[in-house]
Amino acid sequence: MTSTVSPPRFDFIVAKSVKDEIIEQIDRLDPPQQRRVLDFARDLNGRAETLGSATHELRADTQSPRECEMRWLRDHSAALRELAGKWIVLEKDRLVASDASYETARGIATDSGIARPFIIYIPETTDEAFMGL
Amino acid sequence: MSSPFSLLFDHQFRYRSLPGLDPSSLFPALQVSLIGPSGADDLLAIVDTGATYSLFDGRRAKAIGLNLMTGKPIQLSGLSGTLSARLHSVTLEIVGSRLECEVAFSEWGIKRELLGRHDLFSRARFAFREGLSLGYFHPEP
Repeated sequence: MTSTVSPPRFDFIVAKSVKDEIIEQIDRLDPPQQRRVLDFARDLNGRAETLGSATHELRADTQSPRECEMRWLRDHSAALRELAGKWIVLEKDRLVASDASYETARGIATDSGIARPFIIYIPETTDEAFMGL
Repeated sequence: MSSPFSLLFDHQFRYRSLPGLDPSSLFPALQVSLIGPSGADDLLAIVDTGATYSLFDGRRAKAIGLNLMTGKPIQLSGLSGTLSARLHSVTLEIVGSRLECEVAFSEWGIKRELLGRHDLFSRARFAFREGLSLGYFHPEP
């Protein structure tokens, strides 16, 4: 079950000659239909400028609703080493709780009014490569 | 399907470094909302095409309204051994799309949480451009 209705934004062109095929198809259309294709292409170009496209320079990443928390994780690697072995709760750019107990850390968050906490476990830092389980 | 063909995706995401792992290594990790009958957690999970099941720490189960041990028992085998887990149905919210999925909850603590194939990969599609550290998600098969 899905809820997304926005138009696709990223298009992997797997092989060449798409342009040639487009031209070939357009040549078969009558002028009013060609006008509609032109309008559609202009519309797509407008979207590409604001949303980005994998067939152009990639620049429009989908923003996570937890982007502030993601940035905090990225910018606080030293602090994270000290939090190893603990569950942490982040809310925007604020460390709300840290505790070895998941229940305690989550409880601090919910007691402060956060209904859906962003809560993750911070493992000890290792040089080992991640290989799943 | 004859060539040329295209695959369409609604969302692009950048790989991330993950706490506890070499910061120079980037992973296809997504922020996920794990929604149960009476609660929800937001977390960070690695998209793992080699994992049969999405896997979450079992301590989350109670907090979102599930009784961990009433789930169907399952043994998950990995490179480092076997993990006992319980299967439960939850809603996963990924970049705004809600997907009903059966997922595994570990019976003991785990270091990292995963988005695996069962249910999820048949309801959404993922792609990766490893060379660019970019991932793609689309909430349809």
